[in-house]
Amino acid sequence: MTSTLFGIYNAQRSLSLNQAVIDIINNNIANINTPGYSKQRAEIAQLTSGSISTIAENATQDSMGAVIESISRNRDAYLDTYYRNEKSDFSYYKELNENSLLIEDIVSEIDNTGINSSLNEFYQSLSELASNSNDYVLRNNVVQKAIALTTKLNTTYTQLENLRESLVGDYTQPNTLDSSKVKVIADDINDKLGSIADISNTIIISSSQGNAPNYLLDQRDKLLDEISEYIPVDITEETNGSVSISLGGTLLVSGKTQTGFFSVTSGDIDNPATLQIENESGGIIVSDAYSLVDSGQLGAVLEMAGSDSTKLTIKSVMDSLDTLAVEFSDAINTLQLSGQYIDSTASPPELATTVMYNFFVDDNGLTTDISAKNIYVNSNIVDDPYFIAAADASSGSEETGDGANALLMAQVRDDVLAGLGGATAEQYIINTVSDIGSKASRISTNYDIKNNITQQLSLKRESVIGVNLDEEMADLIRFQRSYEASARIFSVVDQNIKIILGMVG
Amino acid sequence: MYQRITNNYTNESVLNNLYSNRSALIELQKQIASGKKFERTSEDVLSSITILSSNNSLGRLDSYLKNIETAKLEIETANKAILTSMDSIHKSRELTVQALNATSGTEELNMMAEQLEQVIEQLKDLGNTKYGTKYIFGGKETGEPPYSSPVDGEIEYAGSTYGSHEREIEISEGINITVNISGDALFGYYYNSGADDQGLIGTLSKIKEQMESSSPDKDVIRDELNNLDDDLTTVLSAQSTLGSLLSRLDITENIHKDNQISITDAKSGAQDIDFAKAISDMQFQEAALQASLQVSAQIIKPSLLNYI
Repeated sequence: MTSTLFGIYNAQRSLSLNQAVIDIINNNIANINTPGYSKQRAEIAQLTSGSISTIAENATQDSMGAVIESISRNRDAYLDTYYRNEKSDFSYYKELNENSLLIEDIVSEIDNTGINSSLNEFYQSLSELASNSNDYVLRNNVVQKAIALTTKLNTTYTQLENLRESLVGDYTQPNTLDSSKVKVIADDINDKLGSIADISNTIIISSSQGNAPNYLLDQRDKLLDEISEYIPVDITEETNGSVSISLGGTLLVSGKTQTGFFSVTSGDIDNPATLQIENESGGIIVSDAYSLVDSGQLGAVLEMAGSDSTKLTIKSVMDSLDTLAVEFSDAINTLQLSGQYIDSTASPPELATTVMYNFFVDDNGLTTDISAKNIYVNSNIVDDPYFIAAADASSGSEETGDGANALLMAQVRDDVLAGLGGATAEQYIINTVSDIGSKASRISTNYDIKNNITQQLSLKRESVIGVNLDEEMADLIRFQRSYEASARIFSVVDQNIKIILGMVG
Repeated sequence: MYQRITNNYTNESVLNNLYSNRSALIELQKQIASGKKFERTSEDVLSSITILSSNNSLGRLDSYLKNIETAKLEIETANKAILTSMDSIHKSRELTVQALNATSGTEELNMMAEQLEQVIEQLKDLGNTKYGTKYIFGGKETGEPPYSSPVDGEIEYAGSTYGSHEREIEISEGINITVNISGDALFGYYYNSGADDQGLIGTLSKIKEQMESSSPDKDVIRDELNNLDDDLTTVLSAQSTLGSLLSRLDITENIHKDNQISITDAKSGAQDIDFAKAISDMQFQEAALQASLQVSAQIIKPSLLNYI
């Protein structure tokens, strides 16, 4: 037997319940376009008096209406994990793809304006010189074509260097690290980890007070998604409502504290930036996290800017250009030093070997430091193209028309150079470019595949967490009618009480 | 297959499809605007290798063809010089025969000597023929005229000696040809008071000497007449050498030009688009995009809200 006013309490509770559910529906509809919002659902259960006695007959479980036990979010934890893993891979390939396209554009040979085109013109100019060796115009042409070639090598190399620097800075100049991609990403990860720890803190407190901080949970899930794009983390939900985030066994966030902080320092020529994980007092937990970050955007940045010979790296292309510069200049210089040039100061001009200049030199005029970035035409030859040793060593001093050595230089085109793995210079370029092409092609294919997978997973997730207007409308009508019914009961109970009161008084 | 469709699901799905439609459209537009099937090696590595190798081969052929052109012009210049000399050589032969004629007196012989001197001068000038800035009959000494007259009546040849005079031009991979003939083998010379004498100029100079002397030795003239015939043969065979060189160059030139065409074809096959196909693909894609957009507009709108 319940109390007289019991019915009023029941009806009132019912009205509140329906009002609350309508509020939830309102919230869902308002947030239909909010990114990261999970549809909220009232878990309605029967409310019982809850008095439990050890004596069976006295135990009463009177139903006292309905109550909202909790407001839960539509969420599939397994799907979330799957999505984050795939998103990690997707971001990894996306970053690799962007950079591989840039590399291809820098070393573009397909449009025939690249290094092979400059080589061709240089060879051709030498070939023309061979048939008219004392013609100043032809000699100057050789010099101009040589300058075009060295400039091409310089620029191509420098552009690659700049690309690498934008990713990981220049290890010889530590201040370039600040604006590098790796540092920007590491800083952002640290911020987000910190935010997650803070949110977890609030969630723990809030849950212990019996509230369901759905907004905070949504925020945290969004941050977890974003972190997964950067690095392939393992996320575990703890019972107290917090999450643990670890990377390859190293704990980054545990409970309400961030335990791992990313820092970036200057490295070496192979890996210009070193990624480290520190604890909150700055002590080093992981001195080189390169091997831990095997996916995600950060993983791609480190890989592209590193020197793993099995992958496509900017350095490998730079090294190829260096090798080409050294071997090619050596081949031409050897011939240049073994011929005869024309001494134009003599009258009439005659062949001479008194001052033999190297054709290609470094910025000090020597050949010791020649590289793709540091290769120039000898300024002595630029100033006086007659120093090109076009004549054969055996010719007499008056035989200024001899171009046999120039012909040999032109025929370096057909020579396989040992230092290029037994390929000619032109062939070496083709090999380098097609190697880049195959690797880039594979990256692009993987990027497409991962793009499709993440699109599908995103839709699948959306189908779980999203708001459907039809559903909300249907629920709205349902609970509106319930509200009406409860209100009706309220007035009936009210009537009944009035009758009872009327009886007495 | 049951799947809960939310409003965002519909939006995302529709957008994904529109993006992929538009991407395909942009790809086609790029192809049509550039005329090329692809712009980066990674899009088609095998075709790229074909294109790059073709570029290299075409570069070489360009070079060879240019060299052949230069060689032909120089050889033709040499040929013309030789041709010009033929009249004079025949003329000098007639004069020599006339000189052997008993009726020629000293005065007539002297006049013939003067005419021979003209011929020798002309040969000297032809020996100093230039092509552009080069003296072509000096062997490898192309900067200075090979023939000069340091002593009156003598013609000195200062160019490269025959056998070490080759100027070579590359006309094909690994194939060089000698394009020149040196003056000492062609016209000869006569100096050092006759200690150095060779060839046509040598013979004619000796004949002239006899004609100028007060007592010409007809036996010497007769011997030199035989030598003159040999010299004529030398010049004629030089001409035929140059002639066959020219026809070899022509043949090589045609081979290279044919190669150019077939390599360019191969390159085009790997690189260029089929316009008709690309344009019809593009029209199809445009129609698909249109249809997509219309359908998208239809499915995004309705919800229960419209009907309550």
